[in-house]
Amino acid sequence: MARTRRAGRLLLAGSIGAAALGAVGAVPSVSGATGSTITIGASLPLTGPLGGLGSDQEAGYTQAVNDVNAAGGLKVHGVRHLVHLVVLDNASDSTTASQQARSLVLKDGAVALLGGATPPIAIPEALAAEVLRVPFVTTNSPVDAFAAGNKAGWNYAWDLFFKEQDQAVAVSHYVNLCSTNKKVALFTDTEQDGVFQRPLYLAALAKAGDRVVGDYTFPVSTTDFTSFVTKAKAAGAQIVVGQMILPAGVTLLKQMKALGFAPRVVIIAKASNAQSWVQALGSLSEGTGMELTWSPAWKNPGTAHVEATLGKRLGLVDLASAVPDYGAAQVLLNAISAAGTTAAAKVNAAIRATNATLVVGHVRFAKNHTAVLNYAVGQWQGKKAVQVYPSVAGAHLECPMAGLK
Amino acid sequence: MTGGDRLATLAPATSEALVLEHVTRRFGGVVATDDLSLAVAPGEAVGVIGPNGAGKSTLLRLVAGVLQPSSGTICYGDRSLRQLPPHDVNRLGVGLANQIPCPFRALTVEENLRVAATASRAGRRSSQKGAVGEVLAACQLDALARTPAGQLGLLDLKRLELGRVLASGARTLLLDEVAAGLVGKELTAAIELIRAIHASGRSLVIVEHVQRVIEEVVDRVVVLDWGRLIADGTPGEVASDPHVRKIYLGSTTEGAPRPAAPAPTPRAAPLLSIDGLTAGYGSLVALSDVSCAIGEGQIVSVLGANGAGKSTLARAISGHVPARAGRILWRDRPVTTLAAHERARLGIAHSPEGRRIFSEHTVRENLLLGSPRRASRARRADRLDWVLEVLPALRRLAGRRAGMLSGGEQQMLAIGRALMAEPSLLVCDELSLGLAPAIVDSLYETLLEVQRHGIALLLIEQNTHRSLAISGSAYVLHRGRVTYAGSPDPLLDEAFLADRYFAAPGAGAVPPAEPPPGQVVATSHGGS
Amino acid sequence: MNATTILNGLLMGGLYALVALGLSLVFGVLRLINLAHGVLVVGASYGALELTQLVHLGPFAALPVVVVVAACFGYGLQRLVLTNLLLKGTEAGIVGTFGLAVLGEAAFASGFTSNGQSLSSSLATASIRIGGTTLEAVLVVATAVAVALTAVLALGISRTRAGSVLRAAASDPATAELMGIDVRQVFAVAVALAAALAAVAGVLYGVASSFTPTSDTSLLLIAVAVVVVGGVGNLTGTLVAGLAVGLVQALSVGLFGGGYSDFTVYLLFFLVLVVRPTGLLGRGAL
Repeated sequence: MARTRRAGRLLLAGSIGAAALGAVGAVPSVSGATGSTITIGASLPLTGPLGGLGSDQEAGYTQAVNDVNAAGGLKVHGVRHLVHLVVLDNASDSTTASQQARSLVLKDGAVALLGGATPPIAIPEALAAEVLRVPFVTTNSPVDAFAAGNKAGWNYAWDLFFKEQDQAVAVSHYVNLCSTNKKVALFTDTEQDGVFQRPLYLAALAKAGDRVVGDYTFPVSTTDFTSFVTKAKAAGAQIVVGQMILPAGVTLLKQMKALGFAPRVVIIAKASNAQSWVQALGSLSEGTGMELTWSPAWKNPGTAHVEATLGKRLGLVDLASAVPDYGAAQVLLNAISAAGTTAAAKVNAAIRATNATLVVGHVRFAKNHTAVLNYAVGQWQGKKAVQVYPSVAGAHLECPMAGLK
Repeated sequence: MTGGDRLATLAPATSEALVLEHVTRRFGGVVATDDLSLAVAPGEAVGVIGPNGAGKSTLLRLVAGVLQPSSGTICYGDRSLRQLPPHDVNRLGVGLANQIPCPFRALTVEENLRVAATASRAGRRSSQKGAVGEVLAACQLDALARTPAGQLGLLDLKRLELGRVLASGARTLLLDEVAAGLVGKELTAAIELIRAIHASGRSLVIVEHVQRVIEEVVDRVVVLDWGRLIADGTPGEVASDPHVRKIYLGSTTEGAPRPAAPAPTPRAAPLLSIDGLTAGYGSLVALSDVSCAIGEGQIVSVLGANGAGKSTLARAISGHVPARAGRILWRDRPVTTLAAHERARLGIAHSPEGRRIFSEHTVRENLLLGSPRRASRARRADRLDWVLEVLPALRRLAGRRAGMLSGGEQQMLAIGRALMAEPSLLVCDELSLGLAPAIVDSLYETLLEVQRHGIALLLIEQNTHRSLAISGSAYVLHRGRVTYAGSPDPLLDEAFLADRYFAAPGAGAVPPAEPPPGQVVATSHGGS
Repeated sequence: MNATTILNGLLMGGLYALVALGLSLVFGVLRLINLAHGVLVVGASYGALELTQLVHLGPFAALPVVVVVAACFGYGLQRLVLTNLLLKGTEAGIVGTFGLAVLGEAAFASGFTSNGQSLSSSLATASIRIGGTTLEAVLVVATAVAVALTAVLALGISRTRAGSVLRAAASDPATAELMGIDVRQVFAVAVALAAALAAVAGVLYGVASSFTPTSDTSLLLIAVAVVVVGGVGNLTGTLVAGLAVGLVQALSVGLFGGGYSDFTVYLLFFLVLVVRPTGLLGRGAL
């Protein structure tokens, strides 16, 4: 990710605000629980470049814990215990995340950990959990990237999220919902996931019968896409597929507009899947595609509950981001309950045995410790996200996209 | 065992002579040493004296290999030092001690010496430990062996610098003003150490402004001026050489004629009066309890050898060196704590040592920078016209980049720039330094012209006769103290001037004479 | 590769030059690499964003306010903080401005979240067609502003009395004091001016592109490269170097693809350092 280079500065920034952040981190999700409680820890990127994802995570994890506590807590050794969730802010820094995972177990006495968003944060945390032999459940890390994070194979760490290839295929289906000349300009940055995703996009688009007329790669800090846009326009591309961070994506869209390049379909994965995409681009974002890692349209059990609780505070976009976190916490809490103990080996075995349809979808872990969730594509329509692939009743596709017209 | 005996055991006395033949070194267009020939016999101590910029330090650095001669040869024994880098010259046994020692401040004294010993004589480890011990003892640093060098006082730093050169195995030592900044007992201690080093059979080449070092250590003195060797003999012979006296004291015969109009005497309330001023840099006290005064429109000379505190006095007046004690009054108003730019705005102009013109600015821009901040455009133009009348040579140079000017032109510019401020006092620091006599003459003409416009002048000069010739009163500084204050006339007597100039109270030469009655405008309270 | 690519690259270079101009000024006058320069630029972007959201001004209507606030901030920064630090040596100044940069990033992150933001303006998406080429209007404006500001500054510094005072204070502060020049005041005004320039750059950058609390790092990197390539204290050099960097970046993308654009810029930076350590146009007037 773009973040490693700034890791040192973030660490400094983190330590400057240490007092304040410490205060945030120390706030327990439930208070007044007397007697023995079960402590679960989470080191999340609440601030820094991943701050948006981190705050959705905190909301999802907290909601799941609150739901269990409201029902009287978890039954361990025949006695109900309330669950105490300790959240620390790692300021989007890998090293801090790893250290915090350790201290959550050793100092705060966490019996299990929930992971922070994205592989650069989750994998160091998971490696710490492996060493400490503590169950660790995470999400927001695409499954193949997570599985590749430990060459020796995971024992205690588990991940549930979409599969990279599914994403590429879904995107290729989305871009062909609209009638075009099937000429694609592909923009991927040279960060880890851009490099990983690019061949998947190329394969999926080829399979869908599209022709990639421009295949552009660039460093993550790029602010000038003029030459690519000019070339793509000259090549007559009517579809733009991209995978990049938000600032780059915003700049790309502005330059496309300025240079009079108006493709019929645009989806910039990663950049476009948060509300800030719309805030930054305004009407330019109208009709652009976006990622949905959860959708109420799937009508999974518990959908109404999360909409009534989490959904009250979060819009659809943040809810779609927070529900996988809610699901990950559910998997861990259910496993402790099923094990009837907090003993790491037993809880871990219970996670392995998970085979249930939850609000995130059906969760069943493969041998590589990952469970694949669904992936949907939405479209920004009137500053709201609407699921358009797979299609749902009542939603219609805006084709061609209006923002760049 | 005396220091000299100890050192004699350290390394055999030198048997190599140091011989320079026709050595010339140029820096761009400037000739620093000009066809210089000099031989230093084994075990000899030679003093090198001369005014600032005469090429003394260049000479030492050429021998030490820090600089390479543009032409000529330097031999040590039968080895040519040509093209040898400093560390190779050092390994042959020639070591340079610097005026400002730069030891490894975090290392102890002993470690510093060991580094020097190791660096120069790799391989002879067994002898090093003993050698370092001998040096520590000889330099009286044994009690401080484990003290970090950064905590040493000035004398011990100088000892360490000499010790460093000794530990590196030098048998011929080049000493570049190693006694600078030392006074009283400390100076005596340093001189003793240098004598001990000489007594151990080592050769010494000593560049020094502190007269006592020359008098008490060396057998022979050479005098440099403009890079040339102009005198060579015993200290006594050289001191009586008229040519040398002229260089040090300025010429009487070639100087500008005494102005027909006598300098105005100061009025009751002086323009500037300084009372008990003490100032310095870090641990060095450069001015100590100095009092003096300048009346409106008066010309005052401040004389003294290098390091006497003349420039510090100028900088204390203009506000660049803070006063540690005492006070400075400008028209009866205390200005001791005012910032330099505020004093400038009151009317104290300063033409600093080395001219310090803005070399990237044009001549005209330099001049205009000097004018008061709030002056109107018309007033500025008038003043510029006036300054160009006083300094007509600048008129045709107005559009030129100041860095392209000759030394004399730059000095004129510095004066003109100071005059632009419409000052009441102009402080000129080393006006004639490095300038040809004819140019100095015309500068002094200008100064008289300036004075006729009612501007007081404080002249800090090595060129004593010229400045005394136009001054209404004079001060002589020696090691930061006033040793003479009063009429310039008695100082025109060379013998008397030399006494004030080279000797100091406490140095044992001559006690300071009372200033002539009726001429007293200041006294030195702590001088005797 | 076509004319549109090359011209837009050149214009992007104009924006780089604008971002680097204030850094160049401070570097020339104070011999200080102001590591907080990027934060000043991004701070202006956030300031304009706040104004557009609070009082619904357009970013260009907010510009004068942002510039004045930035100048006051720069003045205070120099008088209250940097002067004291610089008395302890340039290292203290570099460490101090680094601290300020870190603090600024943290403040932006807590005040505005770490999500990317952008200033919306119709200028951002407008274009100008000349012949067969399409130029981004915002970059044309940025380049025009960079050229105009550089010309005004360079002329002001070389022709006016204030410029003469600034050059004198930069080249020999001690002697400048002897001329009655309040050197601390001059330095504070220079930093205020640099902050104002950073603010202009920040607003245009925010319109042309997007920013996050950590955008300052990449802006600072490119600005340092531009200043060094152009020659220390040489504002015209900064402009030329900015345009050159933009052009080289565009050429590199055209020839080798996007993956090497950063590499090419810093290779240029390195080569200039090795071959002409004083920069393309040499040491400047400051």
